[in-house]
Amino acid sequence: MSHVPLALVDILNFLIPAVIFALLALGLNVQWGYTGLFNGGVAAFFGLGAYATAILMTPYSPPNPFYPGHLGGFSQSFPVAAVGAMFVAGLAGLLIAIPILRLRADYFAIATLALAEIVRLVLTNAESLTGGSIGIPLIPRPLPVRTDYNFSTLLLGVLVVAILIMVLVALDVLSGAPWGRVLRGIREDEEATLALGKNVYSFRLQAFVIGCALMGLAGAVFASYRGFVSPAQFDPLATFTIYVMVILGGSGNNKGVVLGAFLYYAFDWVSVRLDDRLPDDLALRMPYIRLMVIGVVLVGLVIYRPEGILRERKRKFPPVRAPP
Amino acid sequence: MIPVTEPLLRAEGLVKTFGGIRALDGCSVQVRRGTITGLIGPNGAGKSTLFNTISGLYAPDAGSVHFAGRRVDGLQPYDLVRLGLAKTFQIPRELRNLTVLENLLLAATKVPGENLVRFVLRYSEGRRREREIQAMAEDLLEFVGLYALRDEYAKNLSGGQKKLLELTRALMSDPNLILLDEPVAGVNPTLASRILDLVVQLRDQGKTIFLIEHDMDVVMKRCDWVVVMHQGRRLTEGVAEEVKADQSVIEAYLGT
Repeated sequence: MSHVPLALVDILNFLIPAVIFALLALGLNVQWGYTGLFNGGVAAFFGLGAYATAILMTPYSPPNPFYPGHLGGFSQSFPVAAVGAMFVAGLAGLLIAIPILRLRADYFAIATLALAEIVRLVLTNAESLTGGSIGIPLIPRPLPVRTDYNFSTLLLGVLVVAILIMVLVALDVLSGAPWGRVLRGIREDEEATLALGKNVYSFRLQAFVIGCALMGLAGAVFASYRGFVSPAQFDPLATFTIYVMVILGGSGNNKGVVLGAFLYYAFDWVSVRLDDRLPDDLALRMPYIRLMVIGVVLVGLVIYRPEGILRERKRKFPPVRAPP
Repeated sequence: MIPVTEPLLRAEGLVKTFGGIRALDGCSVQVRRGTITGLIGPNGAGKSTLFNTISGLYAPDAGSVHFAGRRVDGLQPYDLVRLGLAKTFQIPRELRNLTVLENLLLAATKVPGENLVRFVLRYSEGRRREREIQAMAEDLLEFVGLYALRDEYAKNLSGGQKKLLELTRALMSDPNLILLDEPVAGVNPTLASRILDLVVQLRDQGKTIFLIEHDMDVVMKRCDWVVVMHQGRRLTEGVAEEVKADQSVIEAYLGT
């Protein structure tokens, strides 16, 4: 059995949640950063991805007097579950988008926020499918063989970094493609882009579904990392945390939003660990102080650097014709 | 010159209401191929609504539009662009955080890379088309004199330059008919006359232009045919001198 140094485990326990946030931020960046779609239901697609993974990966779990049981018994591998999570979140995105995508930005935000609340209530109340408020425990790590728990964390860490790099490269290619150009056009002026001959509805739909699928992927990593899912983890208001990350890092810049996610989570991680060293009465107040700091930083950012830490890259093309 | 070519655009009995307002009230107009046709009329006559209805941004409540021999009312704006109809906005709608060049590239049609599946499966075809449209965009920028601003964000252009960009962008889809909504309103006289020279050059290259304009001087000098709108209908039409002398036109403008 291999030994993983505890310091490394500590780093991994920072890195993996940070990557989960980064994947959520990247998904939101496709929707908000590129296309200008205000998705108020990030938590819903994240939760659906996590539950899909839980259901696909766990063995059969019969109901008993203390647990309502859940849909399951598929015992699938992580890759299958991750694809399933992306499919479920993407499909949910498609089904909700078809009726509401024509709504104006603010109504679209309200409708998606409502979806997040609906998903949370369904996860809580469809007990025989989801384990109710207890949720679904005993979700395995990606490894097929039983190994030391810390070693499985190390492998998950390597896997999620690989996933993050792949997603980042893919999104950079797509956003630089003519497809991404149309999305940015829609963000700037939807009607003008329509008048320039683009099927705006179709592009918005594509961007929304791809973003939701990425949120589902983040949910898959989350479920396997935590080992259990429950409705309380998918608070609809957590959506706005992801917005803070995107705006902090640089809306429209993929590397920027990853940076934003890492910085935000680093602040959270450090300040939580600081609690132990503070006097009790201050430690009790820390959750509120954290929120206050984030609020002040966000307001300062919007006023003094609205484009975020890394601004959206200007895209230059070498001349095809010789300049005059 | 009295245009005798066949009509490229024919709108008949168009009605468009917004709440209780009949912005178009049975409006019928024709635009003949190869002409610069001016559309004039007092404010609120329904000129911009007519353009938006022809270009598919609004669906008419009644009436029909024929373009290049086929019925096009009810089609989406992107269908009309593919059929060769382009439109500019009265207030420039530049895509602010895209460069001037990107604004033009976005306006090109038949771009395989805009389809994700074709972008991946036909990558080299997509690259070839990108080079083609970039060459086209650069030629156009040179033609209108915006080449130096190629890599500037569109939001940083002056008002007049934005008007010029609006017109140039409309040319990227290689349209047969271009609807220009007040192409020189608020533009300084030097740039305005350059824009209008471009419009004449485009006509001479075989394009058809339908433009809204308030400046009677512009209309008199550059338009081959003038249509007058009033209260959502066509009031009269003719060559510029006739229209200018028409008593009903004077009354419509002066409100007597």
